[in-house]
Amino acid sequence: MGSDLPKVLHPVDGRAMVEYCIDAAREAGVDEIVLVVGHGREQVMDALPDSGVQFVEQTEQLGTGHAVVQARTFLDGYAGNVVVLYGDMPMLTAATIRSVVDHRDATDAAAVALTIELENPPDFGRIVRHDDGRVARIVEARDATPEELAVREVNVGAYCFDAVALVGALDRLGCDNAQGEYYLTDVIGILAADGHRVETVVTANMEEALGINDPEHLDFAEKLRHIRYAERMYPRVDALARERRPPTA
Amino acid sequence: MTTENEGGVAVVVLGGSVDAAHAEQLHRVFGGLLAEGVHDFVIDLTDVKVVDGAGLAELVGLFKRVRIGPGDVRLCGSPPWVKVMFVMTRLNRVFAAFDNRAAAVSSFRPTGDG
Repeated sequence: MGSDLPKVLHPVDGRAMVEYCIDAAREAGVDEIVLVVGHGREQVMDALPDSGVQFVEQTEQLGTGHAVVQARTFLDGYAGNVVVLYGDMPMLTAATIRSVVDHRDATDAAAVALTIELENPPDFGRIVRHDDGRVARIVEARDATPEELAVREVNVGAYCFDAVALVGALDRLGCDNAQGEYYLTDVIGILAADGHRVETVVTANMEEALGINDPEHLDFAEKLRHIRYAERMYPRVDALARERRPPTA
Repeated sequence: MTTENEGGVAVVVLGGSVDAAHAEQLHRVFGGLLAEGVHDFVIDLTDVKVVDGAGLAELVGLFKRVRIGPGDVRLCGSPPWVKVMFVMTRLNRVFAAFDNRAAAVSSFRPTGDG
């Protein structure tokens, strides 16, 4: 981001981007929120004193799966839904998070991943399926074969897991990949290989999949927040437009 | 409604009412230009008398589609009443606006001596 400020604290329309994620999770019905903090953890913790979230530190940046492992103490002994979100996705809505949770509740899948279908997907993980349509795994773009890169359904980065299944899979995460990191996405493949049911919920809303990785994304997110405000104002514009139009004969 | 191409920038000249009654036509025109590979747009609002929510939604929809890639949608010539609608909805913070078409089109060109 070209700044010393931790990425998740960069403001979008006046608020740290991670605050939108926290609010969306809470509005979706998530009771207990644990924020895994890596780079700039002191700043992040200081910036969110009254957020009601609990913090755990990721002292080594070894990947998204490794980040979730840091919250292991909150997962051990817990049975139920575990929602995993990224703190740099400020456009994700509570309704969409809720749809992922509801789908897990309805299907009893070990994992439900939010996905989107794109014509020319950028560097999102591809959803690889068996011939019968079942999810086999998620392959990160940099690790994908040309055939896998041609897949249009891609991973957004929002999940609901069965807690027990998640913990079991985290124990077996490896880092044999292009980045040498522990990918959370590999949990999907582990669960599927074990015969667990893995599902996806497909969103049609590209803006919700926006992850903030550079100032351009930040600017776009800020404008999308303004657009959400504008959309709430359309009825008022309609009323003023009716007053302005000349009466019809 | 007319469309022109000025050096790769699509200039869409709107007039009268940009509203629900014309939203489908707008959607079709924008979709056609996008299908041609256009991603830089100037919307000339000089002769627009009325906008409503549906009309604004079409402009916003175009913005979302191009801005996810390398493009942008910029405005020019907003009459006072139209400008008030953009301010009221905060869409003035979304769309860069210019006094005239030439300024809006040239804003897409790289600055500096190159």
